[in-house]
Amino acid sequence: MKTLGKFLFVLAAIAAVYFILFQVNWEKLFKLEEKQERLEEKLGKLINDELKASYGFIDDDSSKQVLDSIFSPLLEANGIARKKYKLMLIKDSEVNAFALPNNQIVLTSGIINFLDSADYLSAVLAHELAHCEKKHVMKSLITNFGLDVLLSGSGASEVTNFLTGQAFSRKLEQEADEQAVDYLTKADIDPKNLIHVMELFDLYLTGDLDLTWASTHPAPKDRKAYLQQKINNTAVEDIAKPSLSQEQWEKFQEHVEKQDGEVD
Amino acid sequence: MEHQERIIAFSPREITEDEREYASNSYLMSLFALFVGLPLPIFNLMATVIFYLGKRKSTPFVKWHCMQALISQLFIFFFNTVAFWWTITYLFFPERFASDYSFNSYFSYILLVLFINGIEIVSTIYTAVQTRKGIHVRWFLFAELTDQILGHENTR
Repeated sequence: MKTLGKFLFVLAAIAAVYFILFQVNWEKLFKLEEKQERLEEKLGKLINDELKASYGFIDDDSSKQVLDSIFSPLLEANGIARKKYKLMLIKDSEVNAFALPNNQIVLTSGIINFLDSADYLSAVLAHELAHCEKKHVMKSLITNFGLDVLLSGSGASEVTNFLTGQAFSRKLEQEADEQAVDYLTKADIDPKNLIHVMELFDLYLTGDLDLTWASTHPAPKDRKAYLQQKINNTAVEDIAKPSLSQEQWEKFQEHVEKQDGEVD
Repeated sequence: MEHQERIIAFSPREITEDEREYASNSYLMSLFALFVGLPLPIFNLMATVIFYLGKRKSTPFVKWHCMQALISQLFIFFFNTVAFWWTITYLFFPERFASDYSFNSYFSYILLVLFINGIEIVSTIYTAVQTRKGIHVRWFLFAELTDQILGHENTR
């Protein structure tokens, strides 16, 4: 009994020491968060420069306004400051959208022309937003390149290629999809749009189109399955009118196509 | 750590030079293996197990100290093993550091393990020195466990 008492005392003492140590915010103490933010900012700039060197940007006022009218409601409804994010549209026929470090989301002209409605684009943006908010970009970069390479600032083109042409791990993609359902629901946008996007990709995946966004992600069929499950467990109340009418969306597509054809 | 000289039957005068050396070595062995085997936490435990098996037919004094050294190593083995594999996981999946909660729990645990190991190392050195002089050193909790495993009749 005496031994058991002593044993319990030792265990309690160890648990108490651990509890006390756990109360200290070591990350803050070592300023890890600050360092990571600085690294993310630096990488974001490097990759942005790399993109500017490789692609033309569609950044006229009209396009910016349309994209903003789709993206802003999503951010506002989820309590995310608009100025925190930078949304860019590049001239590229690949059907692709990707998140970059430092809260930057890039859409290609290809994906604008491919998607049938503004709500579909909201669904894609919600997915990319989830990658940013869940810090998937930095997590994947650290895993794939290591902190040393990232801190040295070398290999910007490899990092850019990785982010534009690779998906995150299956686990992170599913996490982003499920988070996107929550974002869309809060913004009163039907989360089923995400499933419709999957169906669209599934339909065209075997065709000639360069569907980078779908081919680098888990199979649309698998995504549809877990998305359906998530939507079934989510209370979807009001569905707001689309932020852009079908006519406005098609007009925007035409505009982007025209801009895409223009030589910089 | 309880220092109870002369409470038990072992009197320094009755302990031979060989017994003192073997008992002291049982502690030194775990220390030596700890530094040689770093960062793998299994070596110090293995060293004390091998030493105990080698000395299990020795005199009660030697056997008792081999067992106390073994129990103490077994105790920290569990803590060190968790710390080792947690670190390995982080080396291969560094993205897990991205969560504040995850980093804090990991780092707090590593500090705890360093603290426990620190106490263990200091106690081991102290006990190795004392047993070399033939002084019987009983550790908190581990001494009772040793008594129970080896049986009071052997030690008292």
